[in-house]
Amino acid sequence: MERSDEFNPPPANWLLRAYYTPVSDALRGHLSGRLDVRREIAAAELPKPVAGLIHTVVRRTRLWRREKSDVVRELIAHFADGLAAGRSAEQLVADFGPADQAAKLIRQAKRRNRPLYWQAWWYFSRGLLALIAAATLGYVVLAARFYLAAPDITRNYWHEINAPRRIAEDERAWPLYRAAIVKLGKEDSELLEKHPDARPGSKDWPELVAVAERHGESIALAREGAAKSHFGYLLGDPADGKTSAAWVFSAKAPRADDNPELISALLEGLQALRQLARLVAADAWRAAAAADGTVTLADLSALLSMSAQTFQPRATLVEQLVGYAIFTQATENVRSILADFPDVLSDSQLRDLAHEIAAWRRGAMPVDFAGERIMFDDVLQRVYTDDGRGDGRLTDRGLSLLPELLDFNNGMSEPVRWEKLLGPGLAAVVGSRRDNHELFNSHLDEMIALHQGPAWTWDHDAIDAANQRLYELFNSATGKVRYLFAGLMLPAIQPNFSNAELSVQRRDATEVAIALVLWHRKHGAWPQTLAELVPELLPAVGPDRFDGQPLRYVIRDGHPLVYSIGQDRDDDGGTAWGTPYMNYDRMSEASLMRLRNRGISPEGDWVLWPPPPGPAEPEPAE
Amino acid sequence: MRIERELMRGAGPVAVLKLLEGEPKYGYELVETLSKSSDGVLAMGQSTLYPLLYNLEAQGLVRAEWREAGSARPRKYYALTAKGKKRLAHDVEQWRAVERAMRRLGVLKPALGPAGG
Repeated sequence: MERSDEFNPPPANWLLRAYYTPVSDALRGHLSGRLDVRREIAAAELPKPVAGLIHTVVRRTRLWRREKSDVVRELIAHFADGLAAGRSAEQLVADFGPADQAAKLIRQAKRRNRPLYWQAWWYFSRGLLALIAAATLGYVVLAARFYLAAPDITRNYWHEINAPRRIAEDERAWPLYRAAIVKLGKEDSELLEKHPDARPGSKDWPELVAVAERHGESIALAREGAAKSHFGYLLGDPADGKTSAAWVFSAKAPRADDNPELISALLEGLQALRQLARLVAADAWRAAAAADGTVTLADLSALLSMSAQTFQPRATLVEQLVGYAIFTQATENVRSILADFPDVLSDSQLRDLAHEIAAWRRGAMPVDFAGERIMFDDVLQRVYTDDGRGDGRLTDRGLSLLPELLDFNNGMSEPVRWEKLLGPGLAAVVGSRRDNHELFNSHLDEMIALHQGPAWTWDHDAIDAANQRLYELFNSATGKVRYLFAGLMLPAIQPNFSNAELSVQRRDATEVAIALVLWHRKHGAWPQTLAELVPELLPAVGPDRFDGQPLRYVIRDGHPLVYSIGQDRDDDGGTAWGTPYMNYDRMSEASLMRLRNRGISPEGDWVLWPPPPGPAEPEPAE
Repeated sequence: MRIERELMRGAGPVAVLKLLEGEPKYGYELVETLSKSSDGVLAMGQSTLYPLLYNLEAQGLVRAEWREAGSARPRKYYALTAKGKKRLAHDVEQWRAVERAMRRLGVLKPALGPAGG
């Protein structure tokens, strides 16, 4: 039997008495102190071993004061009866059994006598504690799995993307463009960006002409680059980092050899290429205004070639968007120059230009997501472990990429700090490497399959349903987290399908515009129908991409008008949509509905030639 | 002979309820009676008896009451409640069934006559 504490009577202290007085007694003004078990034991005048045992047992029960008092009184009576029956104190203490066991059993039994609300609270709090303990334990296990896991970065996708782009140096256009951009300089580049729509006669035009005249060397380099067979733009090329044009390239441009995250490929050179294209376009207008057909053609050809070059093997989405943007700029400039300076290009120059346009990207507009798939695979290899069978789990190092990915997707630059703390928990709910890989690629495959053929044959209901499914998935509590990484990169792909089709529309409309000018020169009048242009000037009239019918054509007030029925798919007789900046580049029914729901009515036609007055045609959506 | 703890866990409450079937009893009295009436077989440590009583009280099978007994110190008396009586009857029936089964198995000797057992 374990030793009992030595029992000492309590000191006479009114504070103690007050403390051990029940409220009911206190309210009657009586400091009874009757809940003081030590006082009670002392008053019983029991032998020391017995008093010590009672005190030890009661103290260790950790019961409420009133309960202790009750137990003390009962034990006092018990031992007093034993002593009265002639038992010795030592014998009674020995018969009583272990104090700890007694205290424990008494505590448990007495608690069962407590009120229902206390029982409920007790079981609830115990359940809660058990839950917290289990959750903590589970979290510790998750944390160990999470923090001990590391991604296995085995592939250098920079090199894989660059491999088919590596060609003989003298076949690369990019080094010439780079030199042209460096010579253009920051200030004039910004000026070009500031006045993208300046035309002869407009307020800003003299300024733009001055820029074009100052940068003859850059324009010549651009034309020289455009004549090359390949773009040869390499991601993470150390040569870009070495250039003195710090305004174009970050001081610490990532290098392919270092294999950093592929999404950190800055593609700044491509953005700068847009300004170079604007310089060449300005020069085309300058030459057209000066009736210099040769230079006008050279510049327009350079723009076409430049835009085609950007669709190099494994082009990323950004590269393709730049290509579409420059192509839009090139064809819009051709149509506008033909409208404003119909005689600047000779018949043979117009025919040459028409052939170049027809041959743009060999007449095909394949939508290529090879670069995006590689980009996503690179994200996955940095975020997840690799089990060698295409699966893996989220890692701490991988999660630290999230701010960069959010920045990539939304332009959000706020650092995300919570992921450090939530990481292990997040790792338990974020989908696996395979989950994200499969969703990303299956959605791409589905969308590619749904966008086969010309736009008017697309099943818009199926496309909208697929997009809606994805939207709902990414906006559901579980889907958003499970497909965290696919969700960051997938939404950006959709505009690419429309961009390709709308580029075909621009191409076909530009061919029609050239044919109309040639017809007018020959006949001194406009044809009554576009069919008259075939086959002498056109092999066929391109279809309206919105309904598959031939492009619309009317002669109004003696002037021709070429148009597409546009997004509303109604023929409005060539009435241009009043706000040219509204987004023509969405071809799906859902996007039309979204516009209408926002109070924007895209009623009207897409006037292709001559361009309606107002700002230039919007560039492809990104 | 003292019986195994597990067996005592089943027998103890029935024994206490049975002792309380007549007059109310206080703790020490129960301890003594248990020990004497069962030849020490069902003697339980006092550290076990009081928790047992508190448990029976929590289940509503017994009722406790402090009583002054003349000049003696107050004692806490335990009495069987109606619920306790029902439980006792039920438990007794169960023990009889166990006893019968034990006899059939030969664990206990067969009863000598119809009144036996």
